[in-house]
Amino acid sequence: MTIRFEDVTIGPFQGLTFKVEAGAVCKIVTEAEYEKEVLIQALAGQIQPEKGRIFLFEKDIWAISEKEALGLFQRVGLVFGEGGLVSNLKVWENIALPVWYHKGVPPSKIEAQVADLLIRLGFEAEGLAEYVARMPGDLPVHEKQLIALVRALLMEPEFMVYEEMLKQLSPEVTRRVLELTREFHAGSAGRTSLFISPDEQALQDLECDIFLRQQGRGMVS
Amino acid sequence: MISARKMGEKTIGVWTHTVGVFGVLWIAAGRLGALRLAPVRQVVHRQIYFSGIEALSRVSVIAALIGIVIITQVSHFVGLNTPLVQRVLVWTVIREMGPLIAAIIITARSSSAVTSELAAMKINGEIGFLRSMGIDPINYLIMPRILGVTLSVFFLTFYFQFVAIFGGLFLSSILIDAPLLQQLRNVFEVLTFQEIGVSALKGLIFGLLISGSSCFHGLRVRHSITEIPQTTTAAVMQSLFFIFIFDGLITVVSM
Repeated sequence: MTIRFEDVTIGPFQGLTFKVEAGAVCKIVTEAEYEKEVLIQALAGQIQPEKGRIFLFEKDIWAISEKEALGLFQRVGLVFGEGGLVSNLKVWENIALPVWYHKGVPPSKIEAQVADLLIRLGFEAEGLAEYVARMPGDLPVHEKQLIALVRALLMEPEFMVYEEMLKQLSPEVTRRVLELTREFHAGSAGRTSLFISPDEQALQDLECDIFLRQQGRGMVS
Repeated sequence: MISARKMGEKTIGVWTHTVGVFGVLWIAAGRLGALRLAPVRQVVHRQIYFSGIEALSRVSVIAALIGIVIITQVSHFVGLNTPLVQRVLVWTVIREMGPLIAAIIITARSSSAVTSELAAMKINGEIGFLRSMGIDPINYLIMPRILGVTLSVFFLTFYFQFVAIFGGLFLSSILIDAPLLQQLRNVFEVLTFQEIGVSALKGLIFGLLISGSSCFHGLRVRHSITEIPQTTTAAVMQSLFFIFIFDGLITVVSM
């Protein structure tokens, strides 16, 4: 089991119960932006449920120590709707930070891999060095998301969470992102993906094993 | 007129902030082990660059001017070629001016910068983003800033003293025709290890207080961007308040 909500009361949700098995591709469609944000923040351990428990890799994230929780989050790749980049670090530093911090791999050792991923996502090879030297504030939102995707994939996580990933992308970039997602799953058994969006249309091209839709204060499949 | 209730609230506020600052310092001290991580060391280096190295030019000018002002003023009263001129220079610069002015310059430059940067990161959710990547914000954001600012104040204190004394003596030897070698001899006669030790202690404590206040107030914001200027002002004022309180305490205890 990768993620499990057990009778969770949080924000607009009451008694929310669902689970995503390891290895599955899951999409969740919420009724509105606010509900989606609450779900993402709950998954990221940023807001505590009033009631119920949230399990990540079979561990209740609010019943373990901060150190253990941080260890669990290392295994998750979260791609936030607005990217979730650190504003005082350059694009390149943002991409390299988690791998450098957790695995001790210096930025110079991942240059080729990063360039490869960015080109596969549709970035021009020419001028890539200048591009990654920019600050996140200079980028449009959808590019911030793609940078966050590269950053997350470099960590080779077990569980990827995408917040409104496909909403703002062109059909061509959407195709490239979905291809990378499929490769991510093929790379190792048990890898899980969760797409969350209030816009069902944006997720229509996504083939999934689990489809959950918000209904009132809960979720139905 | 301030009501008793308001006075009580103010007192509780000051106490809470003081406890908060020392709490941040205590937690950060327990995270020094994170310095084994290269990205954390990079944040320390950057903080030293912004707080210390970039402040060198201004500190140099201020220190040299203060050195010459002290020599000019004192020599006006006691005459040019008396050892008292150099003694007063050493006493004021080593005991008081060096640590105080280095701390005030860092407060003006870095306390406001660190506080507003952390506050903006918190309001934009970036501290949460770091945590969601498994990166401990205390290890990556707080401890390196505290260490960087503290080391900067510590070394700027000595740099200020060096420039104020030698710059002041050099300039005064030209402007008021006092022999440089004789002045230097007088300086070394009056300089003791105790004075250098007290000065180092002040630099270290002021650095911790400035960085602790800045980080505490930076993390104190909640939701609104309008909190950033308020918390920045609070951090600067609390840093200055702490600096003068501890300066007085250390001076009295070390006399």
